[in-house]
Amino acid sequence: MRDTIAAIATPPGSGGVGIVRVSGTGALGVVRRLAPGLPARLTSHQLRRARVCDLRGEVLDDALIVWMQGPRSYTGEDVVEIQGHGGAAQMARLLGAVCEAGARLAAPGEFTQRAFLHGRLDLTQAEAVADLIYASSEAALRVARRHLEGELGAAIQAIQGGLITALMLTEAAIDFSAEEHVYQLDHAGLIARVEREIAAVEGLLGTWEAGRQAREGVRVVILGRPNAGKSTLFNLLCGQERAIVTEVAGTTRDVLEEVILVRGVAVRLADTAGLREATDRVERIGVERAAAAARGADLILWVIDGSDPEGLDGEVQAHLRASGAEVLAVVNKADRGCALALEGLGEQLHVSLASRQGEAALLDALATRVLARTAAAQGEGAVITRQRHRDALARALEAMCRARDAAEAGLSHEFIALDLRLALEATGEVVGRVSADDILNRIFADFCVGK
Amino acid sequence: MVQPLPAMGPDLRYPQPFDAVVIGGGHAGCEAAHALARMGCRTLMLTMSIDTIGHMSCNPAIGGLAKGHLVKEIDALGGIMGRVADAAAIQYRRLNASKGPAVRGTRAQADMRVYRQRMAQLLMDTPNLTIKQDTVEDLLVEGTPGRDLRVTGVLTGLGVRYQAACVVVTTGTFLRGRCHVGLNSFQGGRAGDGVSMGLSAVLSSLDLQMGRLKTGTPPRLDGNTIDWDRFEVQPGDDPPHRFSFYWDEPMLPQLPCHLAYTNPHTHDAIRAATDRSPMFTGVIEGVGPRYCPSIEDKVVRFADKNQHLIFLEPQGLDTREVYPNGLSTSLPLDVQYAFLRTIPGLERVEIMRAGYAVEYDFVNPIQLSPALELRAVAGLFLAGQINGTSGYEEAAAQGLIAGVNAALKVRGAEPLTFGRDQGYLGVLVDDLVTCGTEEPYRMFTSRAEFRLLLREDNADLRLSQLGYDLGLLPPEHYARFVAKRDRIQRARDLLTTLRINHADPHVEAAEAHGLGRLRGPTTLDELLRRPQVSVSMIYGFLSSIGYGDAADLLHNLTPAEAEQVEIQCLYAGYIDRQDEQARRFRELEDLPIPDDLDYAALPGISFEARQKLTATRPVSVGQAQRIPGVTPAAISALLVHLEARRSATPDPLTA
Repeated sequence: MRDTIAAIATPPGSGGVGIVRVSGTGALGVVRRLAPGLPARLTSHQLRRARVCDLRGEVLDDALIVWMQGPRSYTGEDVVEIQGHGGAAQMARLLGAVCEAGARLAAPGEFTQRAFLHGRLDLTQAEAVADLIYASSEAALRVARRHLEGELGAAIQAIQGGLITALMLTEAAIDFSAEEHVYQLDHAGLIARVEREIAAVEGLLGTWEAGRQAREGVRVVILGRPNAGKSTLFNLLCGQERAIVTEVAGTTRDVLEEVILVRGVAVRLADTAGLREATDRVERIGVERAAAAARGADLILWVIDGSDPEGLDGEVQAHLRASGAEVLAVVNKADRGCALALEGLGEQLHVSLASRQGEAALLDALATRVLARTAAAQGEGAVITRQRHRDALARALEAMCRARDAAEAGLSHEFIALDLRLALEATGEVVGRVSADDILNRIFADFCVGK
Repeated sequence: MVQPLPAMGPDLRYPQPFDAVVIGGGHAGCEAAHALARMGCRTLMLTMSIDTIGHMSCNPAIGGLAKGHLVKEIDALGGIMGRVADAAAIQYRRLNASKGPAVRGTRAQADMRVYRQRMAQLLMDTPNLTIKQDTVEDLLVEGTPGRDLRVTGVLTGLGVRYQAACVVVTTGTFLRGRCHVGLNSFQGGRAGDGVSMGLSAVLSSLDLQMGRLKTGTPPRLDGNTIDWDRFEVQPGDDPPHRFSFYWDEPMLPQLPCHLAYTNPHTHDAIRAATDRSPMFTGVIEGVGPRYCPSIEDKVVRFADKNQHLIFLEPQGLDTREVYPNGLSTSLPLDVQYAFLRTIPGLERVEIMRAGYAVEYDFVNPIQLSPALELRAVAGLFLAGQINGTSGYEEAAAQGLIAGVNAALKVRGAEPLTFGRDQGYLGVLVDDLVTCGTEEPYRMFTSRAEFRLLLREDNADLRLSQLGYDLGLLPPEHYARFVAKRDRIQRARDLLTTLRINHADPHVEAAEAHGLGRLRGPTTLDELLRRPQVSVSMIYGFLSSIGYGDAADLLHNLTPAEAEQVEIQCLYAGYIDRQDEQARRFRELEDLPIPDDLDYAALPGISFEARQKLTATRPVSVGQAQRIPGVTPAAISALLVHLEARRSATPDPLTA
């Protein structure tokens, strides 16, 4: 049996009403010890007014108490909520009394974990609750909220619905071909159905980059030759809207990372060692780390010393190309005049970081790009945010394409069905599985079979 | 001078104990009794009537989609249904013949009388098997309920006590059976037969979870009152594909079936009488099969359909009775006449036996182990409709599994669990004991996730070795099996390894034999995969280019073996993928859960999952994860617990 946990369920700060939530088999017993005035027979999901005292008999509050009998509760266990008169100190006293009476302080996410274990939330919803708790930016928060509302689950279920129909038609033509109405599989119709779901899966997979960047933050890496002004840019950007203080240093202090907020989107900003032909070993390691950071980047800020005749170093450009990331050229030291031919670089910003000249334009350019990268995750529609979602959907897509190809090649139904099943299983890994009985149920509901 | 056997005393205690008693002589009982006796157990079959052994209570046919698979698997193991069906068949059809090999199903109309006679005769000729006519009133048990209850024998209606270590109960629809014709109902497991009340009471007293199901049959028609010329003829296949891999039973003369259709007048007649239907008036409480609805059900539920197909099936060579498949009903007799006579060609039809529905008790099969042994009572096995299934083939398959496991128990051997990747037998048993059932359970190919591996054509390759190892399959059949398996293997090896270069004579010969162009060195396997290419074409090609020995290897294949080689070659890609799936499936399947695991003490799983696991007591983690209501989270918790338990228990070999 699971023990009984408790926590303050309302946000910190003083509000009109605050809630202490207690969950577990002993929840009602715990609360009864504090509220002896509760009637012996309670009705689930019905508010009761009662005086709450601590174990020494000191009155804490005149509260409303609601008992939600499992499994019809958030966690699926017996849950009791005490709705008291807000105020941080007041709520802390209530929670303290509840713990004295036999409950344990809940660990972060523990209510949600129990809800998932009891099947009250699907996996994407449980993940979303975790994301909500740990969301570092508004964009991440928005995506998490939408997952909690089940938007991704609903999108996957819609795809599963289409696959189930396709599979039902295929299976009916196999298992009931000899029955009273001889079902013929309409290959063209089937292919059209599968293609519709292929498009839907591709659409979801297309949100992965934006979804990941909205959830984890856009990885922006500052790259360039030594003394081009990289650290100045890093410090300048960090000075803006400093959000979460997580100065993550590399194992050696060569890659600095900081999370900043750019128009509500988290950006994981990394400053790297200057790139050049390194001679000593320590510096070479620094260069390797910088190159690795570049390979993992979503956006590279390429800082160029415009006054340096060797500013357009071929090696830096090789790293940029290898990274495959979007590149924004930042030509620094504009006040000293330009010693370089910059025509081939595409869009570029001319700034003087030391004197903060061009700073506004630079911030705007960065914000435009960051917002564009996460736009798909912030608009309408479901978004995938985790590697797990992407792997499962990629496998589903592969199987659906094979099913379509088998149908186009005129292969027998069971070969089409095999891959439709695999596709269903793969999508099921995101939200929940579909059983053979679900398919048969659809056949019985939709077709008149039986002799 | 022959010594007489010890006499029975006035207490009617039968002096010689049996190894096993099989209660019932239906399709499950016949396979169970035969398997037990073949495996060397002294076996007693008790049946209410020796004359109805092997009776086909419903439609006069064996096999069909997925059901044909079961019959072939039974035959491959050394069971009897396929052989008797071949002896009684009066029409063969291979269903889904135009589809791939995995979903083709063999079906035969059977002469019901011949089927019964051949089945009874075969059982009477089986050594170790005694057949007696009697009912069973009580089960003899010893031990403490909930701890170590075990069966020790049976007490019959005549008052005889038979001792046995194992009892297999195959009572079909006879547990508290009640037949309905219109709003009239009467006790009986089948029209014209009695009912088994005593056994029902005994099973209830064991505190088993029971349920109630219903099934229906159509009225049987007098063929002489049918205007046959008005119906489309449906002939059988020529040549027929038969069931048995090993028995070559003589063929009876073959008969056609006929196709008929209901029409709006038929439906009006049915609709006008729904208030006299026990189904719609709530008299019948049992749950019926959705895949086999009564005609009144079809007319009401699918009101937009203005016709339904009926197969007019002969019940035998020397009977006038006709079975109108698709017209099962429990409407009153006058309504049965009224709607039948709206069908052109049936205007003057006479009903020989009225259609009726039967309601009966079944035991929720999640209370059984995968050996079909009741977990609550050691030695007590259940098989067939008592476990909530429908169909002769499903019943026979369970009978075989229960019989084999009862025999293993008598031998003191470990029980045998058929895997879902081994055969439809495995799918059937696993579905029943893992998920239970709420309606009469019927096999479908879509229930088998390893469908491409579990084909009719390779049932012997999958199961005959096992059948022989168990002692079911006769040695002479096993020898034929081994020879077949080896010929197929040698042919496969040849096809995959012999590479033909594209020398000019080879290229010409290939084209001449219809194999297409040789563009470079090519394996025979690759050639066989080309459209329209058969093993015999490859054989012709090899002979013409001087590969005589290799050609002979192919030439010596029987048609069935050549077909097997072609299927394995053609679908190798898909088969390999399913093999890989099966391999991954095995990982959790081979992870056993100890018998004594206390789910109440297992931390971190939901109430529902705990309840389901406790009720089902899965034998492996694989089975556990298939139980409805057991979430992936619960399986993770279970895996963690098993791992912790494993590392905490000292290894008996090293300790």
